[in-house]
Amino acid sequence: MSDEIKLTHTSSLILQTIGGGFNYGFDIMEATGLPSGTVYPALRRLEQLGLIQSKWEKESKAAAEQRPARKYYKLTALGEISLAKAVQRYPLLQHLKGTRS
Amino acid sequence: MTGSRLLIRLAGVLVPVRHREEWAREWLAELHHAESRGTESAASLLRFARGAFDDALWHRREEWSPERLAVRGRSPAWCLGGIGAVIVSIAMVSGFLPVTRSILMPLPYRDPERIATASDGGAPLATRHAIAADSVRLWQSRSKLIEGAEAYSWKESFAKDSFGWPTRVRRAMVSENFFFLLGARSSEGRVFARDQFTSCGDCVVISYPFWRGALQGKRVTRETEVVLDERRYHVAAVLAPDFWFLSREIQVWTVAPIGSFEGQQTGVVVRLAPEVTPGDGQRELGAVIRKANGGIRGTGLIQLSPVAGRVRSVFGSFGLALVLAIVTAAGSSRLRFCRMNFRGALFFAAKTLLLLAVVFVAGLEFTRAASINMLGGADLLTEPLSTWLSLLACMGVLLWSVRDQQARCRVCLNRLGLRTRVGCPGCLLLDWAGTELVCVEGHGMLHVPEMVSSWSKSDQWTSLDESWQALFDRG
Repeated sequence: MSDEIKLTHTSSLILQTIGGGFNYGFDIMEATGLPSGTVYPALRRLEQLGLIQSKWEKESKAAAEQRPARKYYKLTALGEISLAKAVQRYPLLQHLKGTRS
Repeated sequence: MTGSRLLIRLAGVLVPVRHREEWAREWLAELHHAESRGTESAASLLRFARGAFDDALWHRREEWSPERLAVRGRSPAWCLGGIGAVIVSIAMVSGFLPVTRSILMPLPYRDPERIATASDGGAPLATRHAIAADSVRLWQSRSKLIEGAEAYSWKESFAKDSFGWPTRVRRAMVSENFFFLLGARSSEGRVFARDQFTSCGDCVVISYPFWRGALQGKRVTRETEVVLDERRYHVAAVLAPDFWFLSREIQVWTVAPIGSFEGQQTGVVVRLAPEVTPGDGQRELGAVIRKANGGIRGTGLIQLSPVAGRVRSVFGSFGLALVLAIVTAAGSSRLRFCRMNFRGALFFAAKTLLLLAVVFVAGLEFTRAASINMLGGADLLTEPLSTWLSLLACMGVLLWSVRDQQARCRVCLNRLGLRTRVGCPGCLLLDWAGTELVCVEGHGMLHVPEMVSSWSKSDQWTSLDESWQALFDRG
């Protein structure tokens, strides 16, 4: 079933961005230039498909920086496979730069 | 609160409750991050927050996805909601339960507990055991325990509607002081007076629905007439909207002197004097007839049935059908009550009571059950048929209710799904074959054996612990 997942260009772009280390909503928005109304629903959908996984930041760490805890996203193993296939389908994706060091 | 935060809070209303807190937490944290950078203008923060509506709508759409609906359709709330919707539909189709209301509300007569119908031969069915009209005159003149007695009978007639077309109407013929005896009121609220119709030849009193329909609610004057069976009648009055006697279907009441009933068998309605019991009344009425007949034995066996009691006996009929249904269902070897917690028992009771209410209300509104109890049976077919239908419907409700409960999760009460046949039905020796059902929320499994045996007597419920949750998590 997993290799039947066909991603849109936008979803692939977001997946690629997460794979590049941009791991929370606002960060992804900035990297892709997509509006919040596109990025967040796409993140829900990708998580629902099991391509990404979310995790809340530790409260203690956020409190130390005097800000609320953020929700981080990372690729799952299935997400990695799907991203590889998406890059084959949309070759321009592999030319995108912006990997967070 | 800034405009952006307000937008996020407003959008949060669209998010299903179980996701709302986490959803708002993420959005507010993101907004805080954007604000703290100090590079975003107020307009761009508002644009960012506006996206919360798209995200919230995504959550809302997910809630109505076929998968979620399939799960929600199994919930006890949907079950109760569905039954409630049936009751609302019945109420709307029937015009807000007129028959049920008329039975539950006080009868539209003065001192209705003193009104009774009389029948001959000791049988309580007034319409099947009519009384000679001569007896009515005797009672009017000689009885001391009743305040009055009036005759009635009914038949089908044809009346001309507002377009001049003949329409079938149910028409009753009543003696002159019938409405006075009942203490009925006109649509204008006036109580009918004694001898009000004495000098009124060819008079009719019409029901409120007939006035609204055939006469289109036009003001009744001395010239207002209706044509019944090709004969013209003067409309003397319109009855109050809530008035009914015998049946709500009677639309026209022809008023005639008691003498015109001579030689006929008629229905009789009496008003008992204050503090006179029906038993005392019927003994006296019987004695009056026996005396007039010269004391012939076997005559004058009169039964008085209080009208209020007969109308409310519809509850008794339904109760009897329900008891019979409970006894039959309890004796069924195929029905096994599952163990229930308090919430389960509450749901079972609510579901069963609502379904019984559907049967009761539909029976009242769409059959002649209420009239039958007042009339004592309009015909030989309707009454037994209604009783049998009530019995069957009650049994159906109970059987379905118990089976539905068996097929629900013992924890969340959702209908179990993923039905799977397990084992080989032909290999039962020390083996197990049957059907397994699973709670879609992952609370447990129900094992229903193919055949009851000494080592596998009935349905078995297996609870699934937290470690199984990952299999059922739908996000």
